[in-house]
Amino acid sequence: MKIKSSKGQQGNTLMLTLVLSLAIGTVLASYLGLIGSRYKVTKRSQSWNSAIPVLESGIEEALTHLQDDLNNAGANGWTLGVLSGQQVYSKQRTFADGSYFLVNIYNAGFGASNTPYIYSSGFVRGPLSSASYISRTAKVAGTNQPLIRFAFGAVGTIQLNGNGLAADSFNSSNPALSNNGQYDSGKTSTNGNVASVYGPVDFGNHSISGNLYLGPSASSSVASSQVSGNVYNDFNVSFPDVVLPTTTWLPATTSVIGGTSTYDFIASGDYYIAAGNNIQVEPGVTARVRVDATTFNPGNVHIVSSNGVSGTLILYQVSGTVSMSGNVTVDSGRARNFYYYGLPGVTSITYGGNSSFVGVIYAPEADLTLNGGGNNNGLIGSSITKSIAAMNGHYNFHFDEDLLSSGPSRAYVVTSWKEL
Amino acid sequence: MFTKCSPRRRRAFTLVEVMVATALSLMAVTVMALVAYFTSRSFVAATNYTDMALLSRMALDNMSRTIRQSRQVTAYSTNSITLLDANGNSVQYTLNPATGTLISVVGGATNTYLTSCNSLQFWIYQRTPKSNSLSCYTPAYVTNAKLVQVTWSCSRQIFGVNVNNEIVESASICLRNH
Repeated sequence: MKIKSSKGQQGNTLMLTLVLSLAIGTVLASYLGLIGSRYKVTKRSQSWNSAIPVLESGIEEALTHLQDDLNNAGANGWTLGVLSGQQVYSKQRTFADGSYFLVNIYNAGFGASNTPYIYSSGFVRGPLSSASYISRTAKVAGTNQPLIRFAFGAVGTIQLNGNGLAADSFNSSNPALSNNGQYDSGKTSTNGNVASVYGPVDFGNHSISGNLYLGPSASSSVASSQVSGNVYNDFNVSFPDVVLPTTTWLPATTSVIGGTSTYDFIASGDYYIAAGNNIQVEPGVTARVRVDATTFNPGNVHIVSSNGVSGTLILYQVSGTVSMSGNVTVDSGRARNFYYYGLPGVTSITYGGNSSFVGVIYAPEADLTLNGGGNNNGLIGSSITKSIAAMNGHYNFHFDEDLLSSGPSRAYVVTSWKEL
Repeated sequence: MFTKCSPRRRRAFTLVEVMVATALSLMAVTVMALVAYFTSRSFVAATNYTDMALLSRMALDNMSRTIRQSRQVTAYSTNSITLLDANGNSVQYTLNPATGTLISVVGGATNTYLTSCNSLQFWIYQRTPKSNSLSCYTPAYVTNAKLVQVTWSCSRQIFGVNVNNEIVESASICLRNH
């Protein structure tokens, strides 16, 4: 039997198969295209956001460089170049995933001003491509934040007794806010700021002319009426321990002044002492002194000034306690001329002189007690300690704003941040 | 040998043939309709997801860029936040629950960031972290806010029913100029 096939029917089947395949293929391709678009959008957004931590790592590196290498801006792989007619220090760092930052520091050279600014660009690989990069750039201004910026501050407890104004400020470098460098109660300002990281804080019946900065967990019984400025509860600053300078320390010699054995510093240098005699620093002399005594009881401390030229004394006590029962006299009236640094081994500081203390006390591991018996004694300058365990007598604190510019710095911090 | 069919028997289908053919046709049409329905539904869902992802990403990227450069939070509620931007201008982000739109208001000009937004919530934190934790304290004052966190949920309808959602969760955004 002969079976007759139909060629027309075979063509219809082929066409039907092709049309169906085309339709299914188009739908699948469109679907995959949509999914692909979504994936690409997500990946691109991730890359775009990843550029922020990359560029910020460049900012961190620049700030660290400013902190550690200010006097050697070409160190640690930073190169000097010229951009738009200005000298800049540049660095590029590439990370394991191929992202990298390129950072430029303007105004970073030796003796530069206190206001460097940084351009940092973060480059991150684009989505689905190893060759293209997504970049973002930020311009950051920085400043070298002063370490000494409070009338008094404590890591922990602040317990004041008595009443009256406990803190205000003046400026020994500003004739409008001082009397020839000396504190003048008629020329004060409102930067008598007080800080405590962990509290508790009790002002008694005192008040302050400034702001109160508290850590978030610090308890406080201070009423807002006792603070002329604001009370902040987000204080987030650590007070770094003191590090003894690496230098060659020479033995200090004594002289008899006014019938009393006295360490009389007549030449600038680094010295060490082990006893508690009187101390005198002559005009124009800067003496850095390591205190080896573990129970340090100096007599009178006199920093002499003549014709507008003052001596400067910087004490570093290594360990133990200090009790200053004599008077601390700084002729210039400027706190910048006397620093007492207590290393971590110093646990207690007591001041019991009958006159005002002019200078800076910085000992974040030590408890401070003021026991002076005079009238209207003041701590003129600044004090940063572990605690202020008690404040007896008639003390009040007068922060010398000159320390903001003349004192030591804590670290470079960002003052403005702008994405370009 | 030739068999001659009766012309009468070749004129039409039998009832059984018609019923079988109709059943098969209905089945084929039903299958095709179901395939078309689910294909189009899936296609619309994919389109919605892509569209929402694009809009949410754009909104989040724009917001995070502005918030990061802001100086201060000046007002806050769970679905609205007002900040001072890097230039000192007021910037407000607000969810309108009635319309489901997230809008920004900058200098009196309103811009729609998101539509079909079911929910949105802001959180603010101050700069200080809690002990042994990565979370931060809630500020006593709005102006102390250093971190802003935002979460929102959007949805689209397919054939009149809310069936696919997208939730965007952001990391806390740090106010760099605060």
